[in-house]
Amino acid sequence: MLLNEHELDVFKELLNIGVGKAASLLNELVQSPIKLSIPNIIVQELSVFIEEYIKSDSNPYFAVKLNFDGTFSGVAEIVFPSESGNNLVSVLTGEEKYSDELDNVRVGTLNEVANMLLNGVMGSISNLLKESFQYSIPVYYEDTFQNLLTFSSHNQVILMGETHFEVEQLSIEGDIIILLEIPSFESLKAELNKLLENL
Amino acid sequence: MTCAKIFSIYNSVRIGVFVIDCQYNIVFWNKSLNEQSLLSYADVCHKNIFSLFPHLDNKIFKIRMNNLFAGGPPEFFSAQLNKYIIPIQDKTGAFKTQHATAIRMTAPTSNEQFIVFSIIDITDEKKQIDNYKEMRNKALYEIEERKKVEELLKQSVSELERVNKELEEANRSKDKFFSIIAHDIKNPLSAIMAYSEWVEEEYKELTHEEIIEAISSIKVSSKNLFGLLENLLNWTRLKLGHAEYDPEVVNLLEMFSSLDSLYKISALNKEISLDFSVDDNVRLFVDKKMLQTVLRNLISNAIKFTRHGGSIFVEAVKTGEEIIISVMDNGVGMSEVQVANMFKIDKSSSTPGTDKEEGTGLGLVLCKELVEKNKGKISVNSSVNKGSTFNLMFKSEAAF
Repeated sequence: MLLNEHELDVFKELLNIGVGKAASLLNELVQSPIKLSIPNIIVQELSVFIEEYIKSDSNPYFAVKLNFDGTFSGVAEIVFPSESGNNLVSVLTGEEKYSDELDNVRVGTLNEVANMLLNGVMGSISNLLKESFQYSIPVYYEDTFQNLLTFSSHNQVILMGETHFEVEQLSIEGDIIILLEIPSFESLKAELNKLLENL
Repeated sequence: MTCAKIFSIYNSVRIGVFVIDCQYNIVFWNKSLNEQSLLSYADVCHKNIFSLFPHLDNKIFKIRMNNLFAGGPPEFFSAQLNKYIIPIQDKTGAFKTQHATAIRMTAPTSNEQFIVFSIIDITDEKKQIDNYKEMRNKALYEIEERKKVEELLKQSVSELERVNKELEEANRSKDKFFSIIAHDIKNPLSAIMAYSEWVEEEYKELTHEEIIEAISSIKVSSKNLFGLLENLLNWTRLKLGHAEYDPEVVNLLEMFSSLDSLYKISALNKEISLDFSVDDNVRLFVDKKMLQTVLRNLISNAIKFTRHGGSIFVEAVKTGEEIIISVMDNGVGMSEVQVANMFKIDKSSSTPGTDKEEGTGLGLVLCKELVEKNKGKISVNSSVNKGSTFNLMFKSEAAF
């Protein structure tokens, strides 16, 4: 167990607060009721996660990545199976899906939605842990799930919240992921424990 | 380096860039944005962004800006969800489509916070995509239309094939008709003429027995000719659609009794036992004349193809929801090929009876059409030298 039960609870809470804020903003923006939930959280070493979950998955995925740097550093990203990503854009814009890929206009929509979600999550982590971070500009990628994760070393920890979107009776799946190098993960863990002590 | 100097770097980029301070006042407006919007830095300098661009004065934009000022990650504004941040019109008056990114910047000396907006014009790209979508939709529409035309064409071909088949069948019927007229009617008529002439010319020389024999032959040929003409007439009526279908409740006991009287002599002449059996009060709701024609054909055929001393049995039974009328004989029977072709107008042929009785092969074709007209089915079991059984099956809705 990389995080104990209490640490995991606090992390879940951080994710849920962030996603909740993002959902409320998204609802204002698109005027379609969106329900967001995180039914499951996985915290694992990246190499183990790839071996167990995604090594044989060659399906295309869409992702938006946000690098952050501070007390702990890493990458926050949101990953959608291409079908889900495409459906999400269609339902938010009211446009018919016309291709299995996204053009630049549709990429923009997914980028903004992912941006709001990641900002919600990172904002929540930053506020509650009272830490400030420097961020890169969010960047959009298309690749297999594994390639979207292994941009640097395998010596990382993945913290993943399986995210469930409910928009207009459509069920859309995505994953909010935070990838941390081991020292950064230890820093996060220490920050979570500080928060626990103050509760 | 002062903020003004830092921001002036953005004058060298081709995308639109503007900067606001934490009071939402514009503090920088680059040359590209000046060229695109026709608003100069002097026009917007130190003016509040919400008073210049009221469409940004909304809750969601302010929350995202506040998050940014509070140290949050960059904010991205997509063309589809926001259309534009800065309203810039093209020559036609339409607003250009933009993606925009907002990042926070801290002044190196004063620690003052700014937000830098970069505006990327994607109008041309969007037009291309829209054109592509339009072309794609047009192509899909054309494919759909083509499919419909192909489907219609397929239906027309299938209709043509059906009509062609009907025409071929009609043609075969016509051929058969002429063949009957040309051959089958000619034969008995020739016999009648020959015997009449013989009696007329040789009357004085002929013995009494010879005259009786000639009259008897004339009678048999006349009967055959009459039967043939009757079938021909019925079949023509059916083909022309003039056959009047007039169903009524038919008591089979009565019908069998009249058929017994009709064929008793013919059967006796060949020493054939002809027996009828019917379940009590089995009745059918069919066209009586049509059923009589069918049974007359089947019984006369049975007599024709049963040897002297043989037997014919006609019965009607009710089994479940069906009434089955069977005409069974222990006569010469038929081969598989004969059975296979017997109901086909173009392939059926007549075989002389055991006493060289003649026929046209039209009777069974007529039987099938008449039975089907009464919503029934006809089938046959036969084997050579063992006999034949013809079954007429009528469903319960046609049966009482």
